[in-house]
Amino acid sequence: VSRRDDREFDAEVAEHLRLLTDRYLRQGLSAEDAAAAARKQFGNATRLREERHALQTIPSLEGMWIDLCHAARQLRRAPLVSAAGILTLAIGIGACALMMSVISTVLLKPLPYPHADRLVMSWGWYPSANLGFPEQPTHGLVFSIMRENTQAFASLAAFRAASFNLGDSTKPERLDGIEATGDFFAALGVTTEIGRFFERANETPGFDHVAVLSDGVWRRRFGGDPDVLGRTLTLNAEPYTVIGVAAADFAFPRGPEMPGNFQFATAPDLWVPLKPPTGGVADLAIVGRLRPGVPVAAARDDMDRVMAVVQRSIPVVKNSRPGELLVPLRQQVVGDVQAMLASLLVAVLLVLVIACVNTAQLVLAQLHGRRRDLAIRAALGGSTFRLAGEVLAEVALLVAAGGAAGVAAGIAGLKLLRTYGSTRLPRAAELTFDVRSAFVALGVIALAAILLAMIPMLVDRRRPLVELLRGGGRGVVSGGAHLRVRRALIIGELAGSLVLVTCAGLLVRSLSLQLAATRGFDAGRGVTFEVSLPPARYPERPFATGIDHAAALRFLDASLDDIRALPGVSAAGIGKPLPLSGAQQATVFTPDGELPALLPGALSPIAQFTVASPQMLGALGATVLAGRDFSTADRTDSVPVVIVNEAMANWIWPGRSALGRRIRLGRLEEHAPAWPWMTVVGVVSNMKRYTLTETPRPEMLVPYTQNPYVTFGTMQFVVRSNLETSAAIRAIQRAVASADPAIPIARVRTIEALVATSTSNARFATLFMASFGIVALVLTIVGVYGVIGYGVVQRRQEFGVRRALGAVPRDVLWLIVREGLNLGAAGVAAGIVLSVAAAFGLRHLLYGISPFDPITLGTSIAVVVAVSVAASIIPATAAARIEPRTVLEN
Amino acid sequence: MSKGAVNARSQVLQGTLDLMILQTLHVLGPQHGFGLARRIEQLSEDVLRLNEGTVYTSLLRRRQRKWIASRRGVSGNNRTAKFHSITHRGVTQLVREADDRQRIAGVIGRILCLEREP
Repeated sequence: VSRRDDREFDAEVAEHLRLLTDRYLRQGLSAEDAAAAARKQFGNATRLREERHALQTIPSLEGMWIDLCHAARQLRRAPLVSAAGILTLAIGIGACALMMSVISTVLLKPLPYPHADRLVMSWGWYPSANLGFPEQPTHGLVFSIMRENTQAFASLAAFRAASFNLGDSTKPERLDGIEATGDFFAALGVTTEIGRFFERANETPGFDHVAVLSDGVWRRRFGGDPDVLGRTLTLNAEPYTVIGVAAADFAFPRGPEMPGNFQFATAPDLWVPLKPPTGGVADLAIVGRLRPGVPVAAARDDMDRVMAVVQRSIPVVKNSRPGELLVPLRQQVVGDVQAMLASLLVAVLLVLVIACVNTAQLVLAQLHGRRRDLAIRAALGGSTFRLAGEVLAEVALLVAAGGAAGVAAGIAGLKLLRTYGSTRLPRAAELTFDVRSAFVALGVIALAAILLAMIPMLVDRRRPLVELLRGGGRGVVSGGAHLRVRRALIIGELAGSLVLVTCAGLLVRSLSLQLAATRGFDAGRGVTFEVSLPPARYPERPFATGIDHAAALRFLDASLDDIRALPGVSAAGIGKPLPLSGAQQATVFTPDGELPALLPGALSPIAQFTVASPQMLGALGATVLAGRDFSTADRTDSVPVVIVNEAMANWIWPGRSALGRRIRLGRLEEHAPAWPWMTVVGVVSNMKRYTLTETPRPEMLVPYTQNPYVTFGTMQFVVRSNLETSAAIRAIQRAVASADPAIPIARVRTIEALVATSTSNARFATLFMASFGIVALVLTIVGVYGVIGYGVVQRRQEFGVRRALGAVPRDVLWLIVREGLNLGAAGVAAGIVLSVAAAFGLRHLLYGISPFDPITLGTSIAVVVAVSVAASIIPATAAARIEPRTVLEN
Repeated sequence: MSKGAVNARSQVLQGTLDLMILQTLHVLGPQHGFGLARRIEQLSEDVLRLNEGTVYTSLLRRRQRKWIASRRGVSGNNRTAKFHSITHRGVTQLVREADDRQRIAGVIGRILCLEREP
């Protein structure tokens, strides 16, 4: 609207008024009365001007701008309150956006493969063995038959983890590789960054020494040089030609997304072709792409048919049912975090609701504090729309500031999560910030705040202005509706807090129970690491009852001797696998004497199988309960010995001593090859092998020198020393290098880190839930304080009167504290059923504690009530300090 | 009287006022705001007791639809004033609105004449 127009309009109005006044003057009114009568007849000129503005400005942008400026001034006038509001919003929106980002990435985003719904993992399944992981490896022979006979799968590929020492003897580097059959990349349907992938033809000897690099290794080791194609790399002392580099976002398989017993690294560094092995142990994972339109159920039938072929051609396969377990890749990748994420989503929504309530509280308080001001302006002709616009502007400004802070907090949180987050969280590498969810959260909060703030406005509107004006400034107990709304909100907030605190309490107790659970070994200052022995230089010669690896034994002996000679090292040993390293080995065995109780369907007993050296138990801090540890006297040619764990001893020889008894590897009915009898020389405490929450399983340990049927490809070391960790690692590196300079040490982790990794998802859930609980409590304190503090201000006069009539300060104090107590009790009453329901929803995440644990629930209730009372103490003391005279004189 | 009732009545009046302004301009030719207000005051026999200022809002609304044109001129007592006149489109609109009103008035009249059947 131009100024000229405005001036003209004002002139027009003035002229109109003048003419009206003239008319009244002619009727004989005094000048003053005439002017008043004219104004009355003309109506509200200012409002007219505003209406004209509204009509002429494009959706009244101007008015909005003015409202925003006004709102900014209002917010600045109460910086503490505004800051609290913005912080509340930032926390609510940030937490919500962060959680939703995680969920949308992990659960909702499609896997980064074309037609990913057709990708299926196939696992061996041993229902009759207590192995801890349902997903078991498949043997190469079985895989070959599956590949040739399947009708449901367009392509099937097997793969396994393999370690490669890259480079020559001077500067070796350990790479985490994947050996995969020819159809691996075709099945996944991925493309290369440069070059090509290997194919079925590369399984043939002579064509199989090719490698596909990951984007990461390509950039790190080769500076992203495209000329890397055709280069020859020395991997495990053999030459490999680089034929391609995988796309930047391709990493399959990722360790956290696969069963832990397969020992896949977090992300593979390279891939080399694998011809399905015809010997050795079952160690293959299988991924397949279904033909279009074939459902998983049909693929299961197909696999049953294939398994019949397998049974005919390999009669040995009896106990196991490879290929039985078909899991859609998506389900495999997401795994069991779905339940955890769902609980956290519910929690974060509760936080959002609490943030909503607190924001509404804030707006309400602001409005109520200014209701006299608003009433006056309404009386002076401010249109309801205009006044509402101002309030809306304030909310909008608050939400915008809070939203910006929330988005920033969410992005920062996500970055933190990617860097330090759970190492077992699937798809962590794909995590991106979900802006949409931030906006949704923002919208929800804004809408809720506005709607909730409107309630008392509407209530007030029905009351005549006069009463509002009269009641506004006086000591009358007023704002009944307003206070009722706020009280209801606070009770809801307390109920929500109770839910979150209860859940957080349960998770914290569950985690501490996990960490306190008997592990069978103590964390101490142990360091673990791995070495990989390239088969080219450490050949293995299979013979009737085992494998001969003289060179590998010499290396292991030499490096163990060197490490044990280091100052500060108290024990060093090798173990394959070490507890909590994720690896798993199991074997069928036959005891000398009667068979133990077997699981239904099992033909032979199965136990965990660990290859160990002397001092491994000592280095781990495991307790030898009876008998002895292995010693250097247990040589290849000495009497075969075995150590069993407590669970195994109780299983096979219940109530009797295990020492001196004999077992042998292999099935009952197998007479050839004749595995030698092994004599039990020791019983060791049960060690947790995969998680801290598992129930101990039977386990046998055999010395590494005595014909174990495992290969020495990769060995895990454990060293206990009083050295500082990094110094210990450097010394160990030198010691291993003196045994063979071409062998690098890899996957160096402290035992504490292994324990931490195995609980990382529990930590993740606990950390989030605990933060949500704390946030909820803080927000609730602010809310309760606000409501009760407001009540105290309103009732100043009443307290003055009470004091004057003989109440002592303690009476007034108690009056207010009781209000806090009542609020807390009401909140608990409202929240207790919800809390129990929420806790029940958490039951899958809990270890060693019932979701209805009365101690946790009781403590949470106490905390919530205490918080409510604590928040009322400050206003209560303020009320108690009111001097009757000052109030009454006023 | 509650505020809601005022709003409802003023909405009815708004349409009536708009129509009256168009008709007045059509019959009497260009007028300034005060003149319009007087004319409507006479015609409505004080039945429509209005905030005279709303005449200006009504004028603005009609001008935005291009039913009314405004120009500056000199009033009877030699003062500059804004004169408002009806446009061709305004006349078309007036005819349409007047027809509607009359039809509705007829219907309402008939309905109000209905007698309760025994």
